[in-house]
Formats: sequence, C-alpha cells, structure tokens
Amino acid sequence: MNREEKRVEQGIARGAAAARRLENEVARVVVGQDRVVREIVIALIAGGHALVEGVPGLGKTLLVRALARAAGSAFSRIQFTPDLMPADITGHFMFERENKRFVVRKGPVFCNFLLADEVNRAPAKTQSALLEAMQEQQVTIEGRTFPLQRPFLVMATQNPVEQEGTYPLPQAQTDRFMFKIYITYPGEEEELLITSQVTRQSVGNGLDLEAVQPVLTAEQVIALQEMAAGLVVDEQIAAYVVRIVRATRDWNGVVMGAGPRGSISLLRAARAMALLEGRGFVIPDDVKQVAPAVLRHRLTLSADLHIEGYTPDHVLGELLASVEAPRT
Amino acid sequence: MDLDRITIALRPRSSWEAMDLGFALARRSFGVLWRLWLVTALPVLALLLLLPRGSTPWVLLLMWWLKPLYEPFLLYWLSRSLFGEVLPLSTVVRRWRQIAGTWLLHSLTWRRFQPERSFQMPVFLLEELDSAGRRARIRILGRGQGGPMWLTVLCFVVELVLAISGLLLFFILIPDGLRYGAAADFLHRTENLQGIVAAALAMSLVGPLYVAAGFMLYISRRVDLEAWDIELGFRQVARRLAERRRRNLERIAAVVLFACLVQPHFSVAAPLPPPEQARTVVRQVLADRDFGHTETITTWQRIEKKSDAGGTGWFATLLSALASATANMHRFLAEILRRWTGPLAVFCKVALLLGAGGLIGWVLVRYGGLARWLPGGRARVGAAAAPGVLFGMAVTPESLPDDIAAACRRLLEQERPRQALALLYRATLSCLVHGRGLEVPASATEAECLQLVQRHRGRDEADCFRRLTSAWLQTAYGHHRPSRQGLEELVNSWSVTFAEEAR
Repeated sequence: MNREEKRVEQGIARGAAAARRLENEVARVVVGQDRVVREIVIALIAGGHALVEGVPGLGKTLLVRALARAAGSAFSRIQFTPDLMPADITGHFMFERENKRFVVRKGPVFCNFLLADEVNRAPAKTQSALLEAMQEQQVTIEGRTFPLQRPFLVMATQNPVEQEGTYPLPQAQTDRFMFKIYITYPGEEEELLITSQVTRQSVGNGLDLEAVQPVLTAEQVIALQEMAAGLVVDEQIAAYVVRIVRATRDWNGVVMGAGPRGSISLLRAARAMALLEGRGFVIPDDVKQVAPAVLRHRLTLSADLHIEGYTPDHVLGELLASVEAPRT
Repeated sequence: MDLDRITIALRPRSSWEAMDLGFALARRSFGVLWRLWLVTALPVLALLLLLPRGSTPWVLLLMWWLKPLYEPFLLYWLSRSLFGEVLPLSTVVRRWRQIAGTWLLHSLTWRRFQPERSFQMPVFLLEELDSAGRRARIRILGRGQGGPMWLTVLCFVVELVLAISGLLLFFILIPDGLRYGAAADFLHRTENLQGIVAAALAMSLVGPLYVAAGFMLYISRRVDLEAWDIELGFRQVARRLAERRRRNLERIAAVVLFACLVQPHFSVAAPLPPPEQARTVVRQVLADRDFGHTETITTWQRIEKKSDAGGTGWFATLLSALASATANMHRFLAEILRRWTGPLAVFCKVALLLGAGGLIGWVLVRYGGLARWLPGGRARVGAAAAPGVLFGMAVTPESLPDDIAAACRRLLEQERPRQALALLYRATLSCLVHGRGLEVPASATEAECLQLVQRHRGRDEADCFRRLTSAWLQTAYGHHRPSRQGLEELVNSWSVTFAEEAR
C-alpha cells in the first residue's frame, strides 16, 4: 500500500468513525430502533431523503430532532393537513409597511432537517411543493430562487392505518425518496427503557434532547457526503446494482419496477453504507443490505400478489436471492 | 332391538334420502345433540388451550383430529332415541364406559383418515362384534356405498365454509377504528382465539348433522340388507289377522250362546226341495244375467303422438342422454371411490408413518448432532448441490491446476498477484463446494459465503477463508494491489488448511 492509499484509508477511517459517532449518539436516545437509525444516517450521508412509515408514537420526531442536534444542524417540522398550502412550506413575500417594500418570509423548508409529518394528509399541490424542493435543493418564491442550505434531509412520515381522507403519494413522488423505512414497535426491554427514561422526573411526555451531544457540524456532514461520493465503485458493483434494478421490472407479479433513479439511489446508498462500515470501496454486501429500503417503495405489485398477502419486501427477498452476485 | 318401536318409516331409501332423513332427525333433536357435543368437546378444547401461545394451528389440528372422541355420545343417544327411548343427557354421560372402547383408540390413530367414519361407527358402538366379525360386517355393509364418503367430504367443506364465514362476519362487525390490518391478516393471525372459536363453533354445528346422517345411512343399509320393512310389514299383517280371527270367534261364540239361550219358533229346518226341483232352480240361477254374461265396452283413449321430429324431440333426447350420462358418471365415481377408499386410507397411513419417521430423522440429524456420524462428517451440508460454475467462475476440480499452491507461487513470481489471489479464491470455493459439500447459492455475496463457512466448517478453515475473503475484496472491489508477502502467507496457510482436499 503506497502513501497515497494510506492517506485515503486514514481519511476513510476518520469519516467512518465520525459517522458511527453520529449513529451511536442518535441511537442512544432513539432506543430500540437501531435499524431505523442506521438507515436514516445512511440516507443523510448519501444525500437522500427518507419516507418513514409507521404508526404514531414510535419516536419519528425524536429521531429527526436528535439527528439534527447530533449533526449540529437546524430542524423544522411541518404537520401536513388537508388545508396546508404550498406557501406554508416554502414561504411567501409580504409587504413591510414601515419600509414600504416586500420582504420574503421563508418557510420551514429552509432548514437542514425537515420532518414532514403525515405527508399524505395534504393535497397533491402541497406535496409537490415539498417534493420539488427535495429534488431541486432550491425553492422559488414569487419568481425568485432561493437555494436550500446543505445538508438537507427530509424525513416524511406516513401512517399505514387510517387511510380515510388521505392523498396517497403517487409513484412518481415516492420515487424521489431514497429510502422507505419501516418503523416498528420496539422490543419489550427497549419499550421498558423508553418508558422509564421519558417518565423519570418529567411532568409531561417531553423529550429531553439536552442529552444529545452535537458530535458533528453541518460542514462535517457535508464532508462526509463528499467522502461517500468519492468511494471506489467497481464496474461489477455498478453492473450488480443495475442487474437488481432491472430484475424488478421483469419480476413476475410486479406491475412496475424501479427506474434508473432507483439504480442511482441504490448505488449512492451502498456507498454511504460502505463508508459507515469503514471501507473505501463498495462491496456487493453493501448493495444487498440497502436494497430493500431503497427499492421497496419503487415496486408496484399486481393485485394477485396483494391478495395473496405479498409485500414488496417479500418480492425483494426472493429477487435478491436469485440475482447472481458479482465476482470479478 | 324392537322394530315395532322404531320411530321412522321403514322403506328402502337411496343414500341421499337417508342422509336427508338423518339431517331431519338431527334438526329435530339438535339442542340435545349440540349439548352432548359440547359436553365432550369443551373439556378437550380447554386442555388444548393450555398449549403455549402461538400454537393455534396445532390446537386447530388437534381439535379436528380428536373428532371421533366427541361423536360416539351423540350416536348412542340417537340410537336409543330412534327406538323411542329418550335418554337424559346425564345418563348418556354416565354411560361413558359402555360407549368408549378400544375401537375409539383405533379411530383416533390409524383409522383417523377413514372417510366412512360416520357409517362405520354404529357397527363399532352398537353391534359389539369381535374384530373379525366387525371387519366382515363392515365389508358387507360398505359394499357399493359411496354415500358415507360424500357425506364426509360435504360436511368437511360446510364446516370450513362456516368457520371462515364466521370469522369474516366477526371481522365485518369490528368497528373500523379497532381493526388492524386486512381481512386476510385477520384470517391468518395465529395468536388470537377467534380462529379456534370459529372452528369449534363450526364443528359443533356440523357434528350432530354428520353423526345423524351417517347413522341413517347405516340404518338404511340394514333395512336394505335385512328387509326390516318387510319383516315389519309381515308383523303388522299377522297382528291384523290375529285380531280379526279373535273378533270372528267372539262373534260366533256370541251367536251360539244366543241360539242356545233363546228357543226360536222358526228353528225348525225347512224341508229340502227334491233333486229335480233343485236342478231347475240351479238352471234358473245360472241363466240369470249376472252369471256368464259377457259384455264388450268400448271407450276412447288418447294415444300420445310419437315425437319423431321437432325441437322438443332432440332436446328431450339430449336431456335424457345427459341424465343417463350423469347417472353413469355418478355410478362410476361411486365405484371408483369404493375401490380406492381403502387403498387411499392405507396410503395415508403409510405416508403419515413415513412422514413422522422422516421428521424424527431430520430432527435427529439437524439438532441431535447425528450429522457428524454420517459419511462426510459435520461438513456434509447440501452435498447434492455441486455446481460446476459459481458466480461466473469455473469451480470444478478439473478446471484448476493440479498443484494450486505452486501455481499461485508461479503467478506471484510473474508479478501477477491479482491472478494468484483469484486462483486461490476460486480453488477454495471449489474445495468447499465439491470437497466439503457446502451449498453456495449463486446470489451469495463474499460475506455470505464467509458466513456459510463460519457456520458449517471448523475454526481453521473459517479463519483462513476470512483472511482470503478480506484480501479478495480489497483487490477485486477496492482495486488495491495485494502485497506479495501477505499473499505468500495466505498461500502457505491455504496449503495447510485446504490443499489436501483440493488435491
């Protein structure tokens, strides 16, 4: 190993240590959701956004707030409701009487970590405003474009029950999320720990975020993102990613598979995974581990599979077990 | 058995009529039969519910399996009720020693898959024959009888439909806000009691009907074979004649008594006519119109026109042909069922025994450490899968050089470390797949291969393979050039661990 390789390796090791510090700090507060924490950290390092699905009361807000605090970044939350307007997200111009001029009032989207709670409760027009900001990393208000500050991560949540009166995100919209993360109930021991922690010398259900230490700065997060983007990706790995994504299109019982954006997201997520594992290159296992979270919301299953109780995760499990792994 | 006390009309009946009669009987006394079923089944169900949480499928299977335990009490009550003796429920329960017998054990084990259970149960319970006599009896009674088999199938289907319908009804009645998941999830959820309750209810509703219909099939068959209806008819005729004779004798006795007691004036016998006069009288009588008179009466009678053509003719022929074909099909199916029911039961029994043996064997091999005593030792994992190509690489022993370590060293001397490492990794895979019988799917990544080795092979092999995999990943995906010294160490380590097998 020459000097340059050693230097790169040391840089990767430092980056991995920083990413793991961030993960551990968040996992210290968000108890019993280690998989969710890891996936959200991967999404952050990969520069993607996450759609989180789970019943209420599982700590989704806490997750984003803890992540924002640990990453030393700004946090906002928007509760999506049927009467929410696009301007409530992006902001608007208002007339300032004293100075007799219009000033821009920026919306909650101008932050680093945005929690879009129950995103499917707002109409399509409002959803689109957020999803455009996610995609373009900028917001246009009254013809003026404002770039969003980096890092920018949106964690949108959906409730799998109580679907009445909701506006389900169309496939084109969900495709913009890098990950779809299922958040489930914690185990018995973890739940006991949460209950004890939250109720200890506390009057309400308030979440004590003072315990979360800022372990990174926003600049360090950006540096991590850039480091992940520079990892070595062998052609075989890229071919493996494409093979998996293309297999979703031809899979029996899948009406619509993932598109090229799926391949891109899968590779980006695999790179972030490799960095978190302290490797300077991506291996097939990185791809395999992040594939369910990256692809599950990009598959549309046929009615037959729905009736038989199949979920995208079942299909992806079978698919990953059949796609040949690369060997150089 | 006193046929005179029987409460049903005795006449030859088809299987379907007999089943229908059975259903009618069960409906008439459904309350008693249902309570009897519950009395026997509920304690069993209570015991089954003591099984650990999450074993609902086992509870359902055992409930179904123990059905022959609940049914004899119903049959016993029905058999008494048929001859006019209505037993209280407590009496039937108290007579459990009389009802239960060794035959019940047979019904719960190797005869459990017998589809004619309801038909044969009266022979076991009521006729009290020895085993040889019982077999002969069942053979005679069961000859040409497809009805009991159909009854079992029909009741099974109805039971299933009732259970699922009950569950769905319950699901529909749950308020929207309290529902979790879809109906399919609700049906498949095993940790809840609703499935057990629905199945138990369905069994309790169908059980009395099944027993009664099977019993009526049995009675109907005996009526056929032993001509109960004719016997009963003769008995009634004999009784009627005896009654009439008795009445006639009484009348004659009365007349004689009266004649003796009262001396009538006209008691003198009239003088008989002379023979010539009598002959004349006879001729006159014979010449009367009422004797020997022949009369021809002509009337009109409608003669149906023969349908030689037209729509109704061919349609009627078609219907007739269809009916005939259906009847033939039914006879054919009944015959097939009669012939194959026995062999099928034997087949099921053999399959059950083989399955149980196989399961025990598998458990011993999988968890009892028996695998290490088998040829191939502890490494024998999926020996059947020994592919020639894995992940696009030829891994057959023939595709590798004879001395792999030497070939690797030669490549290292030629400054081709990547090729040397590739050869070593390929040879290790070949050794694991062909020599150790390790099953490696094509979709397995390097890390998954390593996990397989760590799980199924010894520590030395796992350690060597771990170092080899790490070096391989660095080289193949990290584009790092492996150090010659590190590779030589790997080759040496590999020679100690794998070379023997690879050769």
